Amino acid sequence: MGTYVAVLSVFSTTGLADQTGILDAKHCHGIQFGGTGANGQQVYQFTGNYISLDGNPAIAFTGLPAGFQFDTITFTNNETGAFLGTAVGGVSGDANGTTQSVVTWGVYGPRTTNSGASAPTTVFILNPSVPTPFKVIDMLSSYQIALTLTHVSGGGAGEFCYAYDNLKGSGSYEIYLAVTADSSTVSTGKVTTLTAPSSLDLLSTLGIYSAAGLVASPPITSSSPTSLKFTWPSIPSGSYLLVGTEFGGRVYSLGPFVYVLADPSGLYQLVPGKTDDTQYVDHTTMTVEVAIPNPFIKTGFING
Amino acid sequence: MANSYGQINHYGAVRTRVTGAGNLQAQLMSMDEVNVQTLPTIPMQNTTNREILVLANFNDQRASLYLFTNQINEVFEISRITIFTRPTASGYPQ
Repeated sequence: MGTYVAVLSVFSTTGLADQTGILDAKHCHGIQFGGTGANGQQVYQFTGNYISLDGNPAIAFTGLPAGFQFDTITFTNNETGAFLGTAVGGVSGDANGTTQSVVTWGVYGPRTTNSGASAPTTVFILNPSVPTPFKVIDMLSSYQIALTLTHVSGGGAGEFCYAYDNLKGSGSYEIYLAVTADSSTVSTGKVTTLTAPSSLDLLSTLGIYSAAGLVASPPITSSSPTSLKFTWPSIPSGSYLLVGTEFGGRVYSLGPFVYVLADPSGLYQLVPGKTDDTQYVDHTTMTVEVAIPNPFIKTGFING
Repeated sequence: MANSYGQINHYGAVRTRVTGAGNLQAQLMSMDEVNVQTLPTIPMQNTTNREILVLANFNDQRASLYLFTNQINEVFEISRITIFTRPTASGYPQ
């Protein structure tokens, strides 16, 4: 499991009177009220190179590695600037700004054009008060987050100032490789070959996990981008999962695979033409086919 | 070739008549396995009209050929082994 940070950029603004001549997320935007119902909205979107994985330089959504999956996202505003009359700016013309307006953060459906004149379709409203961390899953490439300032009561012209910058979504992720194994039932000493479309050579360690946690870390005997081999160590019979870790700490979940280890039973039956050995799992009817150990021929010394 | 005990030989190739399934691994080894050269694998088929030749470059007084498989369901049946060798020196320098 790794961590990521995704930074939002301003996508559009609606109903805002720019007080500084520049409409962007870093400046104070004033909204002047002509009466109840005047609203202003600033919409943010993930765009460009905005995702940083594990503290590395930011990349685009399309640059995420194959099998990447967001597990969690928490949206936070790290700006310490103004909000509804607090800190910067405040209210001009009406001292009770916080009772006259409601600010909501909403998540909106996919948009591809900056059509500030039309309100986007709301997916759901997150909260009606000061933005607090919330969780939204796997929406970074398509959805937008909007800060909407609604004037709900009071008369006369007023100005509210708010400035939001450093808006981020952050959370954890995992990379699921489409990995296949050449077998799902193994025994001690068996060599398992994992195959995947790519990235297997990035793995530096393997972990064999039971429900209780890490059981063993077998060495990787050979690897390439599409193939990886390791040998199963001597561990108790049971079901296990494989987890691979990249040198830089990024973790790949390989599977899930269910492995059942067969105990070498000591039973052996000679069968003509049989090219492998059969091991029996204690207390079950399960069998495991394994290679005949160390078949070889060796000549005497040839000294010319 | 006259037998000259202790001479140093160059082992240049190995030819085998082998049938089976999978890949046959091959190594040349000196006494006590001090020197070992891994040769190219020999692909096997159930029926074949060829005796596969793999090149070697092994220098020692004596060499033993070690053939083996290491994957499940690989099998081999060998009926002939030919090792090509030639003396290169009468012995090691004093």
